[in-house]
Amino acid sequence: MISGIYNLIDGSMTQQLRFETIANNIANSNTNGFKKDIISFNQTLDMQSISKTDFSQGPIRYTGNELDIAMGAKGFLKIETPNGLRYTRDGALSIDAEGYLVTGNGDKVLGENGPITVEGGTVSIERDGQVFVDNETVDKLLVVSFDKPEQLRKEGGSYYSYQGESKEISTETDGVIQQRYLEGSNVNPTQEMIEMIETFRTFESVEKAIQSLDGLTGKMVNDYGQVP
Amino acid sequence: MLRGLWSAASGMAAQKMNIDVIANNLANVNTAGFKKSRTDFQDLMYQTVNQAGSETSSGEQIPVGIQVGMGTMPVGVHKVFIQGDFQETKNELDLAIEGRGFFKVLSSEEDRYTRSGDFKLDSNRNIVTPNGDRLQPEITVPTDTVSVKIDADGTVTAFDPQGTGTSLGTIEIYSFPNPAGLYSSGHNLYKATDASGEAVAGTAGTEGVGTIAQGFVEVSNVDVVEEMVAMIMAQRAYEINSKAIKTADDMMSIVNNISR
Repeated sequence: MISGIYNLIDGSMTQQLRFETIANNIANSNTNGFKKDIISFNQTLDMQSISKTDFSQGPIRYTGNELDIAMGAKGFLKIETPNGLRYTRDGALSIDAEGYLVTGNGDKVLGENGPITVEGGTVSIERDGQVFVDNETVDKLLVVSFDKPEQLRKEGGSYYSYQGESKEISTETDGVIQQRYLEGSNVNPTQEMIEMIETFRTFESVEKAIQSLDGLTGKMVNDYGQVP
Repeated sequence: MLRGLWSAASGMAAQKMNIDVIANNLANVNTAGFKKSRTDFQDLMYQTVNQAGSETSSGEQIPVGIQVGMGTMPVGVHKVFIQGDFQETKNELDLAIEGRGFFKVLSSEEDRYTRSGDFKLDSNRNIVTPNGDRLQPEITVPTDTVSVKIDADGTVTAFDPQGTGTSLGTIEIYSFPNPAGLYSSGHNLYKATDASGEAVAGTAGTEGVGTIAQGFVEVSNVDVVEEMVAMIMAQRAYEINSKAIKTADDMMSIVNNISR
C-alpha cells in the first residue's frame, strides 16, 4: 500500500527536473546561439528521464557588427580554451588586444591554420568562412559538424565539449556563414510557458496523490485498529 | 531548494541589465559620435544529474545523461562601432571621421579618445571639445584668422584677412586593435584598456583609419526601431522569468502543504 508513495515521489522529482530545465531555457531566451534542453523519458530505460538538447536553428537577426557571424544549421565554431577544444554556435566574436579573433570569453577561434589574427583594418567574412582583412586573405574559419550531436555536452559559457571520438567530427565544407548576423536562442517562450504550466499542474496532482495516500494510510492506522 | 528559482532569478537580473543598456542607447540617440552598446549573454554552468554512459539497474547504458543548467549571465556589454550617419552643420570646427579611427584629446592630464568631432575654440584659441579638453597634438588658431580649412588628411590651414594660408599642423587619427574593448569614461570619451590594446597613431586617409570631413558631425549610431524591438524582447523575457519564479514559489508552497 505505502510503496505507491515512492513512485509518486519519483514522479514529483521528475517534474521538478522538468521545471528546472524549463527555467534554464527561459533564462536563456536572449542568449545568442543557445539551444534549449528537453527532459524526456526513455522507454527502453525503465522510463528513466534523460535530457536532450534540441539543436534546431534559432532565429537569425541583423546586427550590422562586422565581427558577428551566424552559421548554417549544423555547424559549430572550434575554440581553443585553456581546458582544451570546445565548440560553440555563439557568433558574437571580438578581437583581443593581440589582434586574435576571440569569443566573448576571450578564447581563440580556430581557423584552418590555427588561431586567426585580424589586427587592423576592415574584417570581412565570406559565406564559406574565408576571412579577409582589408581584402587580403588571412585564414578560413573552421566550421565543424558532428555525426552524433547528442554526444555534445554543455559546459556553460555557450561552449560544448564533445564526448565522442574525434573521427566523428567532420569539417563542414558547405557551411553557410553570414557576417553581420547573429543567431538568437531557439527557445520559444510560448512553448516553454505552456510546458511550465503543464509541469506545474502535474506536480500539483502528484502532490495531491501523495496527500490522499497519506490520508488513506492515516485512516487505516487510526481507524481500523479501533475496537468498535 | 529548486534550482529553477535561481535560474529564473539570473534571467531577470540579466534582462534588467539588458534594459539598462538599451535605455542608455535610447537616451543617447541624439549624442554626436555616440556608439551604441549591446549586452551579450551566455548560459551558466551545468549540473550533471545523471552521467551519460552510466548503467541503469537493469544493466543498460544511458546514452544521454541529464544536465540541468543554472541560468544565464551577461558576458559583456559590447560597443558596436558601426559608422553613424553624417549631419552637415557647415561649422568649420565640426569634424567627422569616415572610418574606424578616433581623435585624441587631453582630459585631466590623461589621454582620451573620441569620435565626437564637435570642436570649439577656447579663450586661448586652442581647438577643444565642448568640455574644454584639448585636441592632441594641440592646434592653436591665430587671432587674425578669418577661416580655418581642414583637409581630408587632417591638415589644418588658417586663412588671414588677406587670404594667405598658414599651416597650423595636422590632426592625427588613432586606431585600436579592438575598439570594442575601450572603456567609456563619459562625456563621449574613451580610454584605452588592456583589452583594446595601445592606440596606434595614423594619418587620416592611410591604413584605413579614415578620413576627416569638415563641416559635418557624426550622429549617434543608435537605431530607434532596433532598440524598441530589443526593449520589447527584454521586457517580455523579464516577464516570463518572473512567471517562472512565481511557479517555483507555488511548487514549494504545495510541498510545504502536503502535510497539514
